[in-house]
Amino acid sequence: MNDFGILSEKQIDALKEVGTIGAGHAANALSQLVGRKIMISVPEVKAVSLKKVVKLVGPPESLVAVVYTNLMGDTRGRSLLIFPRQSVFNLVDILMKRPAGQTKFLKEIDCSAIKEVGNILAGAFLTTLADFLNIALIPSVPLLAYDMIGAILEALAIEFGKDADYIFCIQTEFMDPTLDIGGSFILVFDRKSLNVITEKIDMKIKEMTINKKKT
Amino acid sequence: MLNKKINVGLGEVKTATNPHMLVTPPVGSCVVVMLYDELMGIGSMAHIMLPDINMAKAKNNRARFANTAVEIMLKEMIDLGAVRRRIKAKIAGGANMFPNVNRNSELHIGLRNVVAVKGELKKRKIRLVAEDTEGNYGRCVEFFLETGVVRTKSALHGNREI
Repeated sequence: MNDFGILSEKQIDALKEVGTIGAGHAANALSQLVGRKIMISVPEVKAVSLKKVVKLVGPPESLVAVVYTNLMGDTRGRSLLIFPRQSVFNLVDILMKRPAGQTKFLKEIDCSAIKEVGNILAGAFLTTLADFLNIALIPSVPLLAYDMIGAILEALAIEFGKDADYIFCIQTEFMDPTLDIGGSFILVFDRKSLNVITEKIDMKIKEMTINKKKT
Repeated sequence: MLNKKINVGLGEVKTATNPHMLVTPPVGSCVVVMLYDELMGIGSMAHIMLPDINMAKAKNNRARFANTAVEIMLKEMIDLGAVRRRIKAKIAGGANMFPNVNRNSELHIGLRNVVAVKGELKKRKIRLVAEDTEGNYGRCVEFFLETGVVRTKSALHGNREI
């Protein structure tokens, strides 16, 4: 029995598996963008109680840049790509071909660049998930927020967790061992979408066992 | 004298007396309601998540909702010796943290929280003396029970005292 009761161990494993592939594609995309090797963590698939949501990514008061998109199609959800303040400045230095340490605040053009990065990473991750589950996952135009992480996650918690006391999310960390350009990717679904996803996973698992028997 | 900080988390109500200080973590679409009896130095803070208890499925925590939290605050304050007719209110928060994301959505949750809290205060005839609400940025809120001053701190918009 897991702590949210709605997903079985098998379903979580399947989501983790596809999440790892998706995160791999996203990391690859980021690697190519910045010309550096980017590592990823194995995605966590979890239900987080509302009280703990604000602490998902470091201290609630820390400043972050968040690129977020709304998910449309067969599910309702939101993707967030969260970069701590220093990470986002370092990332902009690389993307805009500036000397290291030059970016101290985000200009309009820097914001566009970050949004584009968010778009590409979210796209890579979501396409993998959508292909695996055979559903339509369409992200909206990316938007950028620069604020205290706690305030952003709190608003997210209320929007997606008001019915259930928890939010369901998939979380992956990106990192570069030698330079601070890492961040977190969080994908949140509402309860109804979660049902759609579990249904699709079950179909997929069934399909795979049948194929296994055939061979 | 060193003021002791009391942290008021998501969906909580805390009541304290001078010289303590009631503080919140960063607040996004939540609304922080502060009630104060100046003469006694008694204050109460609520970190409200949603406008209406009737809309929610989980109803066990009455401190979470605009239309039920104020009642708890008043009771706790009066138990400590506050006088009902002296109690005044200040509010902060209710931001829209994800602007433009739902184009066809009705009022965003932050604004709905603010409207609900104001309605509840009006219904209970509590005077709202100051507010720092809405916008699209988060705030930390500090409530000094020694003076009744409320300080809101945001990342990009600086500090405000109300």
